[in-house]
Amino acid sequence: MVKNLLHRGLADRRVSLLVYACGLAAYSIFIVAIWSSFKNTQIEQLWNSYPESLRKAFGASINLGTFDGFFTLEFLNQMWPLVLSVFSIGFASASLAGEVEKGTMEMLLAQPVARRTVVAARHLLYSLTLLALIATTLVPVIVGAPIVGGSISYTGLAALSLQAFLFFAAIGSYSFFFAAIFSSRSLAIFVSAGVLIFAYALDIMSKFNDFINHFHFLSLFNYYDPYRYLHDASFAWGDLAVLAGTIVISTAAAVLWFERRDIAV
Amino acid sequence: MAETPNIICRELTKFYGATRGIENLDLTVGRGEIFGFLGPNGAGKTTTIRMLMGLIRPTAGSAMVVGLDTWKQSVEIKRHVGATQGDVRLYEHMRVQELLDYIDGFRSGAGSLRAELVERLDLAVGKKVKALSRGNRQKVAIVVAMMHDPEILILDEPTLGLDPLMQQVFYAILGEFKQRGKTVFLSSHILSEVERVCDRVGIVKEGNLMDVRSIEELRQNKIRHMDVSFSGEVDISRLKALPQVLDVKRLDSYLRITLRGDIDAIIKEIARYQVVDLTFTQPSLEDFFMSFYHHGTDDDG
Repeated sequence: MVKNLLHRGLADRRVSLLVYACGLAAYSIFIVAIWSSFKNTQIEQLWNSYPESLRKAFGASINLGTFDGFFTLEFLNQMWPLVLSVFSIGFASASLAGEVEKGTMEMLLAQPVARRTVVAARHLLYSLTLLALIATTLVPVIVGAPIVGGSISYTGLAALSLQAFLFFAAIGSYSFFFAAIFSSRSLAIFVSAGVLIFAYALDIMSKFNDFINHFHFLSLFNYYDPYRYLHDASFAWGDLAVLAGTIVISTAAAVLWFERRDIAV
Repeated sequence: MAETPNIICRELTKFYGATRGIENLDLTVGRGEIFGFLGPNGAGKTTTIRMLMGLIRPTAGSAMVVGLDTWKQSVEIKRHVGATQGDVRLYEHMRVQELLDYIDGFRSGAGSLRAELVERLDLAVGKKVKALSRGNRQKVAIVVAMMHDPEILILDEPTLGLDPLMQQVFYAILGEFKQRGKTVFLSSHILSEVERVCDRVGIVKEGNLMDVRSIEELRQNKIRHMDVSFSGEVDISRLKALPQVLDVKRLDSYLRITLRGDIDAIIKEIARYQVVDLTFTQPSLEDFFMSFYHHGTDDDG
């Protein structure tokens, strides 16, 4: 049953997954490749000459003169979350709300398959493809860093992989929850993206305003710090627990809601 | 001991907010029976079928299929049931073969009738679903519903879009299912279809089950129009006097006799004249409902 859902889901998404994988790998290779042009320049000084507020917004603690700092600032801090958030929200919304909207969920649920199995299988497929995309991003770093003379910690890469997986899976999981509630894919995307934009805005504003900073814990981005993991391989267990909790609670809520709702276009 | 019916609805009710889907539906469908659920669009047929399939939760009442609750034991029920949607929605990007494989995968490849159905319905399995006509999509839905030889078929307007030849093939397949002791719950707004294939009919209108009749009772009670051309003058008053005749109208060159029930006395009366032509026309569904509605009111009165 699950194998059938996984197999079909993978076949249906093979083209889009290939596009995401190639795009992420290509961008990763590009950033690795241009490091050799930047490593002996005064980029660190340039970075430090920027206004503090700007550096705060993009990661004040990052040492741009190192390979992992450069890779974090150029890719992991902005572009990577953007691409994988779009992937996560799109995947989740298509998996549930999209099928309800198209009417194919009726055909699927006319078969002897439990609703919770459908949600679980779709979430499992999402998690596996997310892991694959994280690997696609980081393998060029493993291979390319020594070639371009960059220093990279394999432990740091492993720690980053864990944190990134939990962070993006948290976004995907709450998107699954909204996709379980709504019968319109665009509405599910709209609400999920709205929550993400709010979280991002809160993260940025928290860095400039002490009052707003009291609410920083409400933003998922508060728990995303790729440089810390990549550079120091230092685990913030509390942060990881929050992300894991978000995944568990959101997924459980998605299953419970989807089991109880009417499936009708 | 009497057999438990395969389908039981008890005061089954569904409201979508303030909008009524179906209300206080009480009916049973026995094993080996083809039950027609006849009603116009918006009568509550699809809502009922969705509740039987466990897709929507009843607002009140309950439904049982093979003795199991349709909401709480939906997965187990679907091991015994094949179903089609009224508005067939398929996976557009798949080829028909892929779609059938996918659905087959939920029953570990138990589609024992798949090859036979594909052949009899002349279905092109190599085509992409999005390239299929309305009729061919319907054929795919029929194969999906029937290929695992289910104990019960729940079919929502199954012949929509099928050409007349394919309709005949479908009726033949349905007949074979019945011969093998299967139960069929079929919704339709086509009176002739229900008359042809069903054993009993539930007549539903505006969310209420108005009546359940055997096909024989349906035939006896339904209004029909007999259009007869004569070569000479006819005494209309004698025709009007017959108890089966509800109305006689002169239309151009023929008489339209509206009748209900046994036609024997009418045939004998018109045989007294020189008949040039005689045809029966099927009443519209609205005529049919009106006849039942008024008939019911008369009986009550």
